[in-house]
Amino acid sequence: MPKKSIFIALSLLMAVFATLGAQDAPPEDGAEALRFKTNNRSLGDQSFAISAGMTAPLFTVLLHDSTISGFSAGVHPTRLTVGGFGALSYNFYLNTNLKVGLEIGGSFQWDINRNILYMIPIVAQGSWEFHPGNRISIPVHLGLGINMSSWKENFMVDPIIRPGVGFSFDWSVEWSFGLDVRYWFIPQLNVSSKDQKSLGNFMDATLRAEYHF
Amino acid sequence: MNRIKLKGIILSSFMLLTLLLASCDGVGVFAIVAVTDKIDEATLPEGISARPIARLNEVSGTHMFFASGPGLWVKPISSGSWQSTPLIDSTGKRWDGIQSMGTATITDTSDRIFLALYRVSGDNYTVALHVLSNYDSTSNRATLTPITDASWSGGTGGYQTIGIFGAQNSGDVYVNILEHDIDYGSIDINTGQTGFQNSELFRLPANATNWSSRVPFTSQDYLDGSNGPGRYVTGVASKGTTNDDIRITAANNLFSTDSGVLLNGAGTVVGGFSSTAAMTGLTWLPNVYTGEGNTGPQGAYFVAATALDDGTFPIFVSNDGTTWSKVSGTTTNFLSINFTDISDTDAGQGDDGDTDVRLVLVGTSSYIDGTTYKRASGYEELNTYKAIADWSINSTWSTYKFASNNNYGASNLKDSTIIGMSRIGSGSTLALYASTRGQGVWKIAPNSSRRPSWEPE
Repeated sequence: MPKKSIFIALSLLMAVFATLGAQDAPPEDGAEALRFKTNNRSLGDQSFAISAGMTAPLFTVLLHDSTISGFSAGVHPTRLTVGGFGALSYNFYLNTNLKVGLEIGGSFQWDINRNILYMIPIVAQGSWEFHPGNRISIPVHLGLGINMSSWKENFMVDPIIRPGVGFSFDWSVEWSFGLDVRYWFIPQLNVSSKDQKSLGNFMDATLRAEYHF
Repeated sequence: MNRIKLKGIILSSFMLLTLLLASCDGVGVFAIVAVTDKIDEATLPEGISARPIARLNEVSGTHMFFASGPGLWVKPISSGSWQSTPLIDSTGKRWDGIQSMGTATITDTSDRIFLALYRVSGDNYTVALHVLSNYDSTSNRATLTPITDASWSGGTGGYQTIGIFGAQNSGDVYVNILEHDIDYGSIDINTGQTGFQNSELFRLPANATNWSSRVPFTSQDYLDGSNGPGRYVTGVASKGTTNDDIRITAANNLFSTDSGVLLNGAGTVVGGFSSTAAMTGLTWLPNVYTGEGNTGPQGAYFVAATALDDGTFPIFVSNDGTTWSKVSGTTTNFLSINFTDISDTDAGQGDDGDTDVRLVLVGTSSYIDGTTYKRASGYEELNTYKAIADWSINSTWSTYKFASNNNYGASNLKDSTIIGMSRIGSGSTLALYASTRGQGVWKIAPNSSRRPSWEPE
């Protein structure tokens, strides 16, 4: 079921890419292209981005021995499956390399008993973009925000730190497409029982379509 | 302008973060998921609503039974899986379903199981009392013996329904005959329109084979409409056999705020009980621990209101049935509907090192508040260690003391209505069964270890 969902999400994103590509032809090569460095953006430029892909559990660090379950403090498998992730973001360029923005996302994964864990991160994100070519950007991200988790009827809000790296290809001045990989660090400390304090560790890998204006 | 926008975004994000984090102190989801064991699939089909488990000794072994409305389900206690058995009585008559089931305890290992079976044919409707007297596992046939002269027929213009209540300490069952004044075929389950008018209550000895053995309730005034509206019985409990040992709750509607009464065995309203809300779950638990420093356990009555009283659905407790205390810590989120004493078990006395935990489990039920569905929460823990007036209930499952929280929190039991709990066996073989609405039967061994795990049965 998770694989099927991811496949459908990726297929939809690829379909969006194909449609956009058909609408906006790339600029001509040669002297004309050199006049416009496609990824040369400046203060005041903005963008909206949509991302879709997968989220993968990495490990959970229990901060205390669990007297109930007998598990000791330390690193343990999350007992979650790979799941899906999608996000919308708004970004604002401070200069040609630095953009800041706000992203809201949503993910789902299954636990060992097929209960679904939903997470909704709302993250303020800064990205430093390296530009090795006119159309190529390598963004390095650092996000900070909150992560809302819902599992069965339980709901938690925790801080999240989310560094990452990506790759972008500027199809035109308006449209760029890329891939991002980010690590999620979610300390879950504000809980009612000491046994349940933990550090959640996840990652996502997403395809991104971004509209610049 | 752009700087102002940026500052606005940063400020809004910070405020959101602060507000949300400050408001949250809950369950550590990641930790619980990481240490949760796989819970096996149950042997029952999904969606089965199980009523409390009863047990029966017979020649080929000991079996457990529960009624599920249209079906009677059976399973050997020691092994095997649940299977339904046909509702064919000893005269060969086939019945459509079970309206109610009540048990009279005969011995520590056997119940006498009374069933109200019904059948519908065209406009005709019949309900009749039976005793489940034997079970043949080879042919999967239960012996359902009719109680002589205990059959009621109707359908057009009116009909009868039957509620059966096992009274914990009397060895009898109580049979409530409800009168309805509409066609059976026009019952509207969605609106609760059943045409209920009034009822009568009878005590039937555990060994009764004929309806003539019944003993009418001394005064039916609060049930038959002579004193206030017609009411039906919602619970019976007894700590002995005298009228003053017996307590009965009745109301004209399960969610009534003003028709609820608490009666003794003579049909007289018990003084000192202030609530007029409808009550459910009335139980006498004979060995519940009652108070720090006490020389030994005493019994206590438990009952829960189904209507709000001072803003919550309260639970009332009493040692003598006359002086009642309201348990603190109840909730508005779900109803409490049954009580099970586990204070004498290893797990019911909390973790190692706890010296102040003696638990009664309180089963909860979902309900609909107008158009809002309120989800049940499995059970809550009521600690009876202190003096009865100081008892309190813990509704935060992540701090429960009885079972493995991780296992319980991940189970479907936790979100389900617990229709009843039954204790089967004793000592190291003691098992506690929780029968649920729609999530089957769950089992736990409270003397096997501290913090045992629930398993679907």
